[in-house]
Amino acid sequence: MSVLAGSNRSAKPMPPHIVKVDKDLEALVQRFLARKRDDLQRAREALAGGEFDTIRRIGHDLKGAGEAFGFPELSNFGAALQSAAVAHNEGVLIEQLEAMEQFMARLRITLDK
Amino acid sequence: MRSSLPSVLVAEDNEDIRELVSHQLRRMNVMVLLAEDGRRAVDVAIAEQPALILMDMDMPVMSGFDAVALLRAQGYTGPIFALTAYQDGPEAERAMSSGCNALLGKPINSERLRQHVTQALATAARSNAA
Repeated sequence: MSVLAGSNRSAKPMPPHIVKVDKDLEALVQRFLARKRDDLQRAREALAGGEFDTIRRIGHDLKGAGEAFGFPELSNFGAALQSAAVAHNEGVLIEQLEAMEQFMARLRITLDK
Repeated sequence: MRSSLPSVLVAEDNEDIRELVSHQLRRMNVMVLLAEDGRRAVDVAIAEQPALILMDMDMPVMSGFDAVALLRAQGYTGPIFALTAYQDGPEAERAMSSGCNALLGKPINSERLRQHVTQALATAARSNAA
């Protein structure tokens, strides 16, 4: 298992993850990413409260939408969150939420047209 | 007064998908109707008689499967496309046996969506003109 960058502060920063977005979709994508940042926070709060079904639903929605918006990595995080929430696996949930937060921090949107 | 634009009902509980599909449909000069659960989808479809319905199968309150079956029982004859991650297997078979005309796979692909919707609306327009 790879070491989480968040727990290894001296590690070299990861490079930005650049995603090209059609100009027409820019506002839509920015709203989507803002909602996902909110979901990330909601999932953390749900985990603290042991509300696994809330995390399962957040994961399910993320799995369904991420790739459609051009972010297959987010769909993968969604699938992992969903299955870990069903299994009540707190360790995996903590790891996945941390990894998702780091991924989103690296995201840079550029316009395709 | 009703719009002369063809209308498409998007029944989907995922706000992100609802917004993305709506955006793509509006670019196609289509009037978009929205529902966030199966029960609401049935109500809107019966009242508005959209030219096409895009139906998520996994929704709260009433599933897409039940909503499609109810719509068919209540006489809705327009095309219904199932929005589902399953392109084959029991879920796909269940969608078709509920009364869907086709499966539109998830994740939503904008080009595939455009092609399917364009073709369905053209077919519906020809039927209405006949």
